[in-house]
Amino acid sequence: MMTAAPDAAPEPQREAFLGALGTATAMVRERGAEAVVICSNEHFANFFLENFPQFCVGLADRFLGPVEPWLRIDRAWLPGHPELAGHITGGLIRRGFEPSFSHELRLDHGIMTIYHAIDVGMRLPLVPIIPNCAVHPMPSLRRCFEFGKALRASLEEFDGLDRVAVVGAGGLSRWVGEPRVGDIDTVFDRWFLDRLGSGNLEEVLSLPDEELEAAGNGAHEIRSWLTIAGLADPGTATTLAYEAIEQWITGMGVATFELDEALG
Amino acid sequence: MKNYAVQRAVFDFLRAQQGRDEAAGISTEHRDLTDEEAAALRDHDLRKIYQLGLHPVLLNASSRAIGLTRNDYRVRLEGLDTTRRKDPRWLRS
Repeated sequence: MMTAAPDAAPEPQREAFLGALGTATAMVRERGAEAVVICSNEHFANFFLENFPQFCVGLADRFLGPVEPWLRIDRAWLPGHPELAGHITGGLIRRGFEPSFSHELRLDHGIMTIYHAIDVGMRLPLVPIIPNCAVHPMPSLRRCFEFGKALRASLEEFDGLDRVAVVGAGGLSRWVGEPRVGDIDTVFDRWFLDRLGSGNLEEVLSLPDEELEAAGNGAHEIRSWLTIAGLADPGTATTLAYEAIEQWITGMGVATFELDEALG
Repeated sequence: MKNYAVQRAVFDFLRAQQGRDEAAGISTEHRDLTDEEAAALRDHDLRKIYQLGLHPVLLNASSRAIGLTRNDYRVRLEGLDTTRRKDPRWLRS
């Protein structure tokens, strides 16, 4: 919604959220990222129920996106980084994960809105990682946190680049395709962001899906946030903005994380 | 995930819609659907489709494809919510 209907949101909320997003995405550029890994759910753009991956890494040398004509982002080919993506995939496997991989991914709004915010010219090489946040059974929240740790270790082994940005996108609370579409659970969103900032995540990581869904089916996308929390140093999350934007039917948050040292 | 045939019919409809300006109907021929399921899909009977277990992402996307807004389908699905619970841990913190 932030690109499809930005003006639908009240200006103070829109400016607060987009301003924070601009701050965060500027960090990617200003810190000299040579590639970006974006972890985000997808919405049946690539996978269907006949064969559905729990995690998928995009290995292609380029990707086409967005699939949605209503997103108001021009469809284009954007560069991948097959060497980095292949290294990530191998590193994850060595650490006990079995991600799927794809040489042909179509990117939907989950990745494209954030990628476009980072690089409107679409030149920064991208490695998309798609966790299953939509179709039961999904990887547990704890598993996604551990995936983030394995992802960091894999990245730290890669010699081909000096600086890689890693971004998680999705959520926060919302209901999609459900009778409660339009509701937002601000209590859940602030509770989650508070624990992200403190690093006290056990209450979050132990959430069963049935309980998490009390914040809406869209809340499953906190898996991407928890992947980044697992990758980053504990307790380093800083919430730059949180707005419950009813017109976008979503609790919209932006947070940054820190690492002790640059990857590579 | 229940009713694979229902899910598949809607997914194929959405894939076929890509690039089209006008929505065609959901094809129910040659699918493992009961008469009730087929009728619900042809008529886009949202309440019935929801109760048949259509994945919510597919429900949202197919509603958009035929011109329904989220408010439209919220009204049509009124009373069917099963997700509300009184005691998630964030309300007890």
